Amino acid sequence: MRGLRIVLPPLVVLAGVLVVWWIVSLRVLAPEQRFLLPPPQDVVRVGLLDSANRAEALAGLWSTSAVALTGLAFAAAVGIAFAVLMSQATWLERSLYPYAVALQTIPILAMVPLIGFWFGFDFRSRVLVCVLIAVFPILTNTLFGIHSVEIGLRELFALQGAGRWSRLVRLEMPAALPALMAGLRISAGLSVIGAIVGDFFFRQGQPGIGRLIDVYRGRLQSEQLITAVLLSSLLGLVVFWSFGLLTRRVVGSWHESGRRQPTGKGER
Amino acid sequence: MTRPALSFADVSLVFPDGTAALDRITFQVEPAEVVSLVGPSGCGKSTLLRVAAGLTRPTGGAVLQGSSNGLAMVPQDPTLLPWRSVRRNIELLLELRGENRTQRAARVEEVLELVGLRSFAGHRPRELSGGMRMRVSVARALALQPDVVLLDEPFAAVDEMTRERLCEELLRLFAHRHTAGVFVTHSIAEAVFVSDRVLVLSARPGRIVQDIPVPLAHPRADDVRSSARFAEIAAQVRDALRQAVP
Repeated sequence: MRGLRIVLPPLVVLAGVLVVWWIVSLRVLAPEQRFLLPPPQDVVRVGLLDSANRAEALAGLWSTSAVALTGLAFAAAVGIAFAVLMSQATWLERSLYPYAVALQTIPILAMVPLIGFWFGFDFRSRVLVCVLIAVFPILTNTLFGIHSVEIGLRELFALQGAGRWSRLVRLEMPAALPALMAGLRISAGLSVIGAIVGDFFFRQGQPGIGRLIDVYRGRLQSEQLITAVLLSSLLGLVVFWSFGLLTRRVVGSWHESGRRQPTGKGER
Repeated sequence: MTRPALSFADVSLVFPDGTAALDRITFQVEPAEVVSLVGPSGCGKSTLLRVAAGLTRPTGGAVLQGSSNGLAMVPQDPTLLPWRSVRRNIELLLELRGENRTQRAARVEEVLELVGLRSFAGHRPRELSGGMRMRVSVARALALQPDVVLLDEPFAAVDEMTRERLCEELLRLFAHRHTAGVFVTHSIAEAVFVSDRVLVLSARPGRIVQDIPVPLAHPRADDVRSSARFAEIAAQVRDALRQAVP
C-alpha cells in the first residue's frame, strides 16, 4: 500500500500529460502542422522502436554521458582541491574566491568559441565546458562545509596540537562531506547540461545527444527530436538519483542529509 | 612536598577592547584535588579554563603545569565527531597525540570498561542520549590519562538526576586515577559535591573572593547531599556568592 501511494501520484500526472499531449497532437493540430508535436505513440514507434534510430540515439546518449561524467570527475577534483587550498589560508581564499565566482558569472556560451580555438572541437573541449559549468557548486559547498566545522571541535584538535594535515583528514573533510555531496549532486546535473551544450558547438568526434538534437531539428524529425530530449532528461534524472543514493551510502549513517529519500527540494 | 598539578600565578586577562576579564588570579590545584570555580555569569570562569588549557593567552601572569602528562578538557558541549563511533571518538585524542594502534586500543578498552560504555562502543553519537554523550566526552578526556581535567559546566545540558549520577561517577573516576580537576559550574550543590575546595569569583573582572574548603570524606555517595555538613558548606558558598554580586 505504501509503495502504491508513492508511485501512484506521479503516474497519474504522467497519464494526464500524455492525454493532453495526445489531444493537442491529434485534435488541435491540423495534419500538416502535426510535425510540431507528433502524438506519443509515433514518438515511441519512430524514436524508440525503430532499431537504427534507437541505436543512434543511445550512442549519442552514451557519448554525452561519457563527456558529462569525465567533466564531473575533473570538476570534483579541481573543486575539492581548490576548496581545501582556500580553507587553509585566508589570504588564499581572498585572492582566489572572486575568480571562482567570476567563473560562475561568465556566460559559458561566450567562452565556447575561445575554448574551441584553444583546445579544438572535440571531446577535450566538451569536457572543459562541463568542468567550467560544474566546478563552482562543488568548490563553494566544500568550502562552506569546511568553514562550518564547530569551533569546539577545532579547539579540541588545537588542544592536542594536531597539525594541519591531521585536522584536514580527521575533522574538516569528514565534516564537509555532506555539503560536498550536496554540491556534487548539483554539479552532476550541471555537468549533463554542459555536455549537451558542448555538443552543439564542438562537432568533431563522436556525436553526442545535443548534436543529434540539432540534426533532428534541422531535418524536422520531431519524433526523434522528442525522443532525444526525453532521453537527455532521463540521463539528468538518473544522475541526480544516483548521487542521492551515493549520498545516503556515504553519510547516511551519521548525517540527516543522507537519511531521507531525496526529493531534490530547493537544490537547484 | 609534591608539586601542584596546576598553578595559576597572578593570571590577568584584558581583552583587546579594554574589558578586564580576569584580575590577578592566583591558586594552586594539588595532585588528585578537585577545585570548583563558581561565580556570577560573565565573571570569567570559562575564560580562566581556556587560559589554563592554553586556548587563550593571558595578558599577565602564567599558568604552570606540574608535569608533562598534561591536561585534558571536557567542554560544555560533548563535541563528538558524529561520523565516528563511541569507541573511535574516545580514541581520537590519543590518535592526535600520535600513540600507536595497540596502545590506543588497550587504553580505549580500559576507559570503555571504566565508564560503563562497553555495550555502546559501536554506536554513533546521534544514537545516544545527552547524558551518554557527555559520558563519552568525559571518557575521551580520561583516555589521555591526564594529571588535570578541566571541566567547563559539563553537565549543564542534562537533567538533574543524570547530572547527580554523572557527578558521582566523575568522582569515582578521578579517585581511581588520582586525577585532579578544575570544575566550572553554576550549581552550588554540584560544586560542593564534587570538590575539595570551592573558589568563589567576583563579577567581572573575575577575582577570587573566597576559598572555601569542603572537608567531606571520600568516597562521597548520594546521601552526602542530604547531610547537615553539606548544607552548611553550601550555605557558606551561597553567602560568598551573594557578596560577590554587587
